[in-house]
Amino acid sequence: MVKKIFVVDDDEMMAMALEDHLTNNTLHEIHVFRTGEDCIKNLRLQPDVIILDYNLNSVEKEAANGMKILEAIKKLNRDVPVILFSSQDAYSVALQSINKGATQYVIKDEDAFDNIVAICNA
Amino acid sequence: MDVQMPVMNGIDATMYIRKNMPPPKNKIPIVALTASVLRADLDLCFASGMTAYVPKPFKPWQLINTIAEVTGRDRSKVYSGTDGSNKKAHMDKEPKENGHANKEPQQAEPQKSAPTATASFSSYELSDNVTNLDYLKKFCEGDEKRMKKYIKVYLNALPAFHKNIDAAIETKDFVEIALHVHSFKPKWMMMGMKQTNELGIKIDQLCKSQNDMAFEHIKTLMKDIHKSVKELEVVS
Repeated sequence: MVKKIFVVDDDEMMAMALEDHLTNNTLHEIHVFRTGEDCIKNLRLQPDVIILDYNLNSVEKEAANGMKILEAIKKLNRDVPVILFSSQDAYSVALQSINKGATQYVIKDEDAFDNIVAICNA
Repeated sequence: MDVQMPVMNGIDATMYIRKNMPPPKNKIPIVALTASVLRADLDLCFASGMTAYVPKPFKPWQLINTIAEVTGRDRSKVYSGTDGSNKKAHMDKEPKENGHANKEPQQAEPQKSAPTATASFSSYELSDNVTNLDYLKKFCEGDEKRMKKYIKVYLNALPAFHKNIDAAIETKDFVEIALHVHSFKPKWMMMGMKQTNELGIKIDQLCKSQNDMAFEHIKTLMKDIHKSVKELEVVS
């Protein structure tokens, strides 16, 4: 099944890497947003999976961070799976994101991109 | 053996074991668990009598393989990989260091230009290169044009990073320093700058406790970055 995947990351390299890796390793349709607000505006496109960065305000300081966007997404569409993507490796952060409705929490390490492909293909 | 501990740290505990415990207890293999990859700190661990080190944060395979090595066990028999569950995938998977999809568990190959987590101190060497493009090459499937694209993004992001860090140091804003260092970690990961990444983690921790040592480590970080520019401009 071809899925519509949203990648939400304010970091140019990470957004590029995710888009590249997903495009080269899946047949899914990838949409990239650099802020959570842009992702929210486009939820009408009904993504099948959202990959959401934890820290989102390095480009626009006033942009909401990943947790706030996660909450907003869940209010508008509680069923869409959200994968929180972060350099934070603290269990407390992972637990908090799961409690807020994230389906998975993936740490930005060398295995991250393959893990995300596996999750999106599942 | 954790290194940073209150009351008695790992260095002192190791020295005590080596000097005061009766044989064979005084010969027990001791593996340092440390967030530091600074040569001076690792030399200190070695001098105290530690057998090997595993950098924090560690992956289970790193610890298990190191234990296997220092206890003389066959690593391929000790660790048999994961059950393939997605939920555990980012914690338990073996690293992919040889350009293959990680469908079967593999032995970790030590990287040539970064200290290996399973090296004993007697064979530990610091390389002169801060970058290692093996991961990027594998990620880009050997496509040099793609690799150059990522290197360009890294190099283009550095002026803003310098500016932000300088401004944060000027005002001693630990929160801003931590934010900018933290946000750069994935870029160091892509450029194979493992030591720099570890240093970034240390700076992050020091900033959380508003420790002025963070500024010293930032000087080392900037030297690493300067070196990385020289190494990468040649290939970009």
